[in-house]
Amino acid sequence: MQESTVITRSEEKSSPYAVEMRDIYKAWPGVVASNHVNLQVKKGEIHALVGENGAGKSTLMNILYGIVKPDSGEVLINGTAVHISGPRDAIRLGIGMVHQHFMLIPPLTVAENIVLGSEPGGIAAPYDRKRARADILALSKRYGLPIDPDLRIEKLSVGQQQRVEILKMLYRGADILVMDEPTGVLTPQETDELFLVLRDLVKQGKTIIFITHKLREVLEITDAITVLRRGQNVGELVTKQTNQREIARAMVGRDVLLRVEKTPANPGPVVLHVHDLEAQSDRDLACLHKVSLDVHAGEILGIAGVEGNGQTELVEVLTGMRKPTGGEITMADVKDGQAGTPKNITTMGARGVRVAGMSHIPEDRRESGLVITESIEDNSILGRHRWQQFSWRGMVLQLKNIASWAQKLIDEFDVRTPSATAAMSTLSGGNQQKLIIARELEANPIVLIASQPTRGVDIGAIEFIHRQLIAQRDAGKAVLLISAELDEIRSLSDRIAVMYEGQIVDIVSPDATEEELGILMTGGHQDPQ
Amino acid sequence: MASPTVQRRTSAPASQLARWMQKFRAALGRPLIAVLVAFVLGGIIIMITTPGPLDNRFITAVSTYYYLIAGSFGSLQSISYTLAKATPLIFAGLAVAIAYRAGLFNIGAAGQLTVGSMVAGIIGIQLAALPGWLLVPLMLLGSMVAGGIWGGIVGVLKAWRGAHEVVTSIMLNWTAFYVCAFLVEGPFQAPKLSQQTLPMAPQATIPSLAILYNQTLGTFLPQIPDPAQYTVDAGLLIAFVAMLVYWFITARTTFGYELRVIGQNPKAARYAGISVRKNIVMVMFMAGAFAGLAGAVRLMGQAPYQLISSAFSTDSTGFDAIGVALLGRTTSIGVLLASLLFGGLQQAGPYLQSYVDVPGDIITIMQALVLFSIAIEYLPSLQRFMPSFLVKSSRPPLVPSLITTKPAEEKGEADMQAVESGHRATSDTVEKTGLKPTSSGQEE
Repeated sequence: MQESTVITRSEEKSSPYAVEMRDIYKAWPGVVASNHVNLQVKKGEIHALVGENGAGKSTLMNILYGIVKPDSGEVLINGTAVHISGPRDAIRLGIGMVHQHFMLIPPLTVAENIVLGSEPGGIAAPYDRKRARADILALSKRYGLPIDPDLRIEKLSVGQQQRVEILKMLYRGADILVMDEPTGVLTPQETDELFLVLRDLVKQGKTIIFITHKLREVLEITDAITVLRRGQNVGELVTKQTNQREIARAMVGRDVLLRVEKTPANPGPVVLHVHDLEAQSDRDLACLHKVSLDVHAGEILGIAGVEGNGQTELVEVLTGMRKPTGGEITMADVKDGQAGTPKNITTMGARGVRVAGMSHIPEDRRESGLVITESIEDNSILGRHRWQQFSWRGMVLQLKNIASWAQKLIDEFDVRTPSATAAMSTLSGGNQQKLIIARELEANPIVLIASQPTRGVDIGAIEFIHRQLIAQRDAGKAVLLISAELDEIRSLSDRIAVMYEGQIVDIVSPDATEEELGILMTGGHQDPQ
Repeated sequence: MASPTVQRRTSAPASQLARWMQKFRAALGRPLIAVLVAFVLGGIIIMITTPGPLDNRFITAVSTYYYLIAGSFGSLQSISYTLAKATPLIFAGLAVAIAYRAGLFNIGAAGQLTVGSMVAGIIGIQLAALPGWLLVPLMLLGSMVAGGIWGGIVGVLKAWRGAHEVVTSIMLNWTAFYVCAFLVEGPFQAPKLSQQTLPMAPQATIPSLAILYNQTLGTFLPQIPDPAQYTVDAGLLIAFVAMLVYWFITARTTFGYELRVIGQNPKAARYAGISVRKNIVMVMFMAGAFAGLAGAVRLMGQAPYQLISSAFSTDSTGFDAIGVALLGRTTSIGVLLASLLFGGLQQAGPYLQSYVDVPGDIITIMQALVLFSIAIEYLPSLQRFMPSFLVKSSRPPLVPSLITTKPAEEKGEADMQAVESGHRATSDTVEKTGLKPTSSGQEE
């Protein structure tokens, strides 16, 4: 550590770059992941690395972190050509990576997690709890990252866990922090806090590489931007001199509709009727209080709210994954603009509500929407595997029908995969999400519940998904959209219900300003006009 | 759209043969290496433990393997012995395998097997007056139900009380051993003997395969001379049926599909409305039924055709089955091959003693080494050092191998997925660094 700082000072003039990657070329069989890519990150700046899924961001960062060896090209750290053959080398050179999915051990304390692998005293001495604690307190004070070193990781919120990850890198002496989609899992408040921390770190001389999909964040926090597309440099931009549209165009290679184009809704009769719904969370605490909602055919009802205010539980109750403790849910079919007799689906269970005509895009595709190790074919019937066309009497799988169904989903929704028998894990995030959406839409539902449908997918796919949701609405489906992205809710919804602490506090029109929504979302009341 | 770094291939999918080859390699690559590593290590152990100069030791090790093969598969007779040893292993292996599909570790095959053989024995003794065509199916059925209930208890405890299946099944093993030992030495004790029941009546046994052949097909095809020397019984045929049933259940039914979903991602099962509890109980019942059959077939097919109280806890079949299922990667063919390997080893043990003067216990060491090298394979820290073609087998390749022009470089396959998506990349790194993510990134 000391040495590298010395080098930094002596070569300050000759190399303003903390990280310089020159002409990086890396090919895998059948695909060029990195086609003579250059990356120049100045010292003390926050540098955004943006690009769609599969653009080569991760390959580039994996090369920097020593996980992948480039075929050609060189890496310079603080102006010195280096050879990084593994994460250990990278850490020694002062490069720290904060992964999107945290690498923490839940039952261990904050302190134990931070010092893990480089415990004070080394491997031979017994673990020096006091010193570890003192070191971490000093560190957290120095960088303004308050944390209790004795808490166990499992007790921490996601934002705090990320803080521990950052501290872990700082503890190892990182000067260059690579943040892989750090805001993907954070609430808006946590994101704001993170940005404060990042600005502070930069002030203290750290350099940050920020990988993200979210262009607003790029504009808000970064100083310079490198855009990759299909493994090539397509733009080096200075944040102050660019705008969202320009970055998006560079990423996708064409103009992207940042606003969704749609015609006014033409709502029909009430299809999904929710009355006084009550439910308990996993910890047996009441989390829904007399929630009542009506979703009409041909409209998108958006549910806005800070995450953790009961949206997850509401979706689970509606889709039969969680038993309500009170209230009623009914669903009616629509024919010729007339609603049929409402069916009570309150206690039908997940399989039952699907049969009744509900489709569900779950909020976390990897966690619950897919079985990542199984094939696309298997995943294409998840939840509907006992349906007549997929199994004989719900018992024996009809493999041919399943195969042609999977192929249909792949073709119609342009899921990029070598074959329908490939494992789900071989698909990119956007394509995984497309398969889920294909599966849920092709079932021709009456009600579509879309929970965070665009989380973690890139701009091109977001546009596609938004258009699909609008198309469903226009086809007369009742769509319930739950999203943490206020922009998404506002641009897609025809009405917006705001949830706060398990209640619907108000239902407003999408013309409501962000400020008005923000007040509702945080429990304040709109001024009577 | 995700930018197409890999274009969708419009060319026809890999030919049937190539796909089979790929499947074959994916299924067998690692187990074969595991066995090979075990054998090499076993050879080293033999060389260390035999006296004499180095070349002498080397010759001993080589000849050990020679007699190992000769003793297990060297002649028709030894093959028949091996098959006889492998038959119960197949059933028990399937019992462990089917539970493993649902993510359950069935250590209780031994107990389920014991209960199965006990009930079959009781039926055989009590209803000895019945004709064979009725008695044999009745005994088999009884063993399945009994084993099934024994396994089902584990399932119920897991599903409704959250009790870990490893703990409960081990406890039930000992319960089974002692209860059955009590029954054998108590109510069902043979007169004038202390530790056995009466032998099964002839019509309550499964005939030897060779004799069965001579009596049926042999009436118009060439007869097998001296059939009594081939001890393998017709239980082997039942084992083949069991394998077929297992394959059908796991690969062709919605139940098997639900097991896979539960085993790989319980949260997806909840999302899909799959009842985890019901399936856990059902799969443990089926596992128990397979194990119960192992006990019944062993009792009815091989000498001494009687239950011996001291044999329950010393019979290693139920535990070898764990190795069989894991080595066989829980496929029915894999279980068959692994059973043949373990059966062959057990059969050849005594040969080593008499021909090369290597203690027969070396067989147990080798079995342990095989298990060890399979287990080691799952350690991520070791995975990093494994040659790429082995790592690949755990994850299907992104691009069909036919269109790749050059062999994947080290770690190529894994990282190519990293190229495909940012999310993959992070989780790949997770695996490589051997750490577990705490947030939503759990994947395999």
